Amino acid sequence: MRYRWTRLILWVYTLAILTYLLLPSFYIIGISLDSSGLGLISTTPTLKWYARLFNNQFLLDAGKLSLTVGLATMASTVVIGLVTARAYRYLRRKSLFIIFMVLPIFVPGIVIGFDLIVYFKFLRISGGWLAIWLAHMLWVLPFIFIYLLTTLSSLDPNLIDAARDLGAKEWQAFRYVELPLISNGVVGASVLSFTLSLNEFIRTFFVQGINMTLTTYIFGFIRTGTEPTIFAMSGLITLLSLMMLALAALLAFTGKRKMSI
Amino acid sequence: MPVKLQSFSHSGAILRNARVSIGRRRDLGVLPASLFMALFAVIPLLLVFLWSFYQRHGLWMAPPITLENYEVITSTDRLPVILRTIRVAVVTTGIALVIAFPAAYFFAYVANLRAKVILLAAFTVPFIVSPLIRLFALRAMLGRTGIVNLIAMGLGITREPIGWLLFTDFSIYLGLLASYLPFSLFPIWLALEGIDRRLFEASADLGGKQWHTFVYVLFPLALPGIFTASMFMFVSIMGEMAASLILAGAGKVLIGNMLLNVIDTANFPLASAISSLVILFMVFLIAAGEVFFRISSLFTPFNR
Repeated sequence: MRYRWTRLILWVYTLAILTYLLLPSFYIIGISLDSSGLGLISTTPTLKWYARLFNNQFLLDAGKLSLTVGLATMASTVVIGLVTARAYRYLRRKSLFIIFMVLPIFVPGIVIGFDLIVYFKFLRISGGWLAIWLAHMLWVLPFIFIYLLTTLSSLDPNLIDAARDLGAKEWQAFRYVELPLISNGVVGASVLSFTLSLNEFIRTFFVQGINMTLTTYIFGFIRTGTEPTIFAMSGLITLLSLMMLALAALLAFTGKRKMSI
Repeated sequence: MPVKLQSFSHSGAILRNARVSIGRRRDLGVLPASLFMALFAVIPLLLVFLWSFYQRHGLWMAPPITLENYEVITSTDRLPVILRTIRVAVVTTGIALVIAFPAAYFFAYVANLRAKVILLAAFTVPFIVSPLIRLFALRAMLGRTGIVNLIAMGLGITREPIGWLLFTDFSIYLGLLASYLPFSLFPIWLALEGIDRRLFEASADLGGKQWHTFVYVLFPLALPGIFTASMFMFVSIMGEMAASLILAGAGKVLIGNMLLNVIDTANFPLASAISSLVILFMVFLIAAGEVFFRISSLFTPFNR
């Protein structure tokens, strides 16, 4: 760029936007530490709301459900995503397939939630963890697919060929050559899928039936007014997600340098 | 067996083995995902379209086929909501594009790799961390005892708390932008990243000044990204209900809220009709985007 001040302006500009976007999340954490519970930032921080979280049985059950579905989603989407991303290379109609895979992102959550309720009733899976898990998979799979596609694109296929040439069978080449090289991406994808599932709200809200996950528990409070423990829980989820995101970002771009032959 | 040596690219080296026998076809891996998507994404949407022509039947629905649901939508109280949603969507998308473009430019051309990774991850946060939590936070921030008013009064800008921050159109726009700005940033950034840098050099060689290059080279090549960004925002806003619920209160409903109300009253055919309209609109956008702007190219990783 020709002018140094243009770069500076852009830096400041981008950081300003970032601040605007991140402010609410950090503000929540700030509120959750306030002793009055009225939504102010105080000078006397306290952890008592976080302590109270653990006394609430509904909350703990919701947490259990969120975690279980999160893990299930993580396992299923990463496996399916990886298999699909590896096969994508050999596909003929690539652009059509990508649009097909990315489609769910473009359908508003409410529409999907609504149509899944009726559909599940049809299939007799309504309510319950299976429904939530399927809905989460639908939401998360497109992202994981793209993420793994990007990871695989930095994998040098010559290395696989070399392994095969040296006598490795196909599964051996995968396990001993490919997997270690993409392990960072796989871990990143796992983290990402778990975080996405943990924070998913609207589709869960529709298909959950009588169960509740953490996010839908929070949603219940919109209508009934706020309670200070809500801020603590939101703060917890935010912190957790932030940590996982940092991890995923780091893993996406670092990793064993691919060696060129 | 003759080995093709003309290229060592991905597809070149490996594709020669792609079509062996059906048992070892290498693109079979797309089957599980495709099956899942077809089963849980495509079929339900088609069913929704079908149901929009059904009639209400107690708490469920059944044929005969009718168009009355669509008629109801265009009746008096529903139309203003649709129009308002479209207005909000257009304005928000416009603002988001204007705000996101310089930032996307920054990421593509100014930031170094480390900054990119860190800042991009930071930008993903609002999108991933539950929008619900953030909207709650915004409500707290914009309220009479919130931080904005505290600062404003502390600095002496106003004597009393500013009332119009919350429960107005302003707060909805703020909330929507906070939720969906990353959506508009990423496609534009992807598009800009994918532009071959040598085109800029070529343009300069041919005598183009900086501004000229920007308008005639960079901008047209960024259009797939801009279109996708608009698409993301539009669709998201049309499905949004949390923002208007949390930040705007009773009067200013969007299509999302309307849909929720309809579902609450178990009028599934009507809900199907509204959903079908939204879906059709989205399909139309995607098709237009692919035909005119080749948006699928954004999602494929760049070949190194």
